[in-house]
Amino acid sequence: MLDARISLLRRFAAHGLPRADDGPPEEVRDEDWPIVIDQLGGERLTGIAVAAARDGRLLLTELQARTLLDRHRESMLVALALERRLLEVADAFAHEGIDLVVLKGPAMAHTFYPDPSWRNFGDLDLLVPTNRWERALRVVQEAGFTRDTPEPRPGFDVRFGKAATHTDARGLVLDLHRTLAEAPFGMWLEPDRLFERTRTFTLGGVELRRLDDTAAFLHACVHASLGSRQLLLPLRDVGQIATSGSVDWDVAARLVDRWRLRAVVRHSTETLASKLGVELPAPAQAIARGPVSKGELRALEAFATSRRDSGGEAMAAIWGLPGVRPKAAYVRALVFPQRRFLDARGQRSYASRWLIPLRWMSTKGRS
Amino acid sequence: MSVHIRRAPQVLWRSVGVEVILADRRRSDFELLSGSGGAVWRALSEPRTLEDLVETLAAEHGVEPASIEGDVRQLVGTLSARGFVEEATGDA
Repeated sequence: MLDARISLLRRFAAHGLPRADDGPPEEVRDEDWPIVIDQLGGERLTGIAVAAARDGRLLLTELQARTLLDRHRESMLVALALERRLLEVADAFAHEGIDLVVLKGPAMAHTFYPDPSWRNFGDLDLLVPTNRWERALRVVQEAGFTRDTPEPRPGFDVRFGKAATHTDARGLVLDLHRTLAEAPFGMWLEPDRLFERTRTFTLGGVELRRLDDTAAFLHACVHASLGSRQLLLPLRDVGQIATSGSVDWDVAARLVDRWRLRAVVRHSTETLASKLGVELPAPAQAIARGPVSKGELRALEAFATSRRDSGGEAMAAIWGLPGVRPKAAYVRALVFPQRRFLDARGQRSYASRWLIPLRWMSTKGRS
Repeated sequence: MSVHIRRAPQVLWRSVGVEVILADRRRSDFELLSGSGGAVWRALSEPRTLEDLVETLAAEHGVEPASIEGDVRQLVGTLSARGFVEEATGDA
């Protein structure tokens, strides 16, 4: 039954996208439903499942339909609470004159999907320029968020970091980003130039910035392949943007070269085809087929294979950093982190001190 | 000049089946519109006069406009009082 449930989830995840094989409408046995509904929630696919049921692709009993709507309502309450917080924080950033780009959740929901209710999300992801990082951290904290884990050493964030996770008193989570991925990919993709690749969208009467369709496609590929949990929704995002957005494939091809993302785009598009059965437009496939350097492949393997759980991510960052001094600074931060970092991670013994940074490297970003 | 009813721009919302959840960005609570309330909200995807709104909903549900006008008027009044919809004079 495991295979059948996986197949079912994948079909839900692809609902509404052009697929080679749509097959007959799906039914779920009552004995499987509790697991399926939990998996739909965990994969943040309840919105797409509701759409599939409405479109006759998912045949539910009355009880199943009711539990699906109950679960989806909970998700949408979280999404609305997050959007309300987003508008508060965006207002604070505007007041401070700090550029802000909304990534993923709300930007995806209100831009690329047929209806925002299709796209669940459980946190906010906001990109700010590196040179405003410290001020941006203070703005987020003044807005009522607390950083979950301090940086390993002062200056780590702006040199090597991807994002800092914050939580507010109600448990709403905000990831403040400096770039879109961990090193080395996060450095390769020129984070501050992302601000040149933005468009606006309107939320609650407020104009906000998001990545333009081309950069959003590349970010979706990054998230789908380098994210620490191999979820179906990021893959769906790749297909959603590629098929409903206005991606400039020539620009995408140039950015893929410059940002060293070909291995990532290839991995995500191949996974999209194999798991969701979705074939991307020919220009996207052409980008994915281009030559990939050994360095990119090596870095990708550190994220997308079991090497990730044994320090692969840290090793990829060390390998990818240019020059001896940055490598040394990175290693020093991991081996001799500041006390606050260790305390936040629950230091228990002298020996465990050495394991904390590596555990942090292998688990951060899994929220 | 006719008076149109429209969704207030500061309102965040989501569909959940036939229901609609509303969230005013200036408050911390939520409003849940079930069946007919959700239908009214969806019909306001574009600004409409009250008459147009009633006729649209009546046609959608196969009933006489007069039979739902009172309910629609009352619901619009409630939504207006809570700041979820607002009046606009003119064509939009």
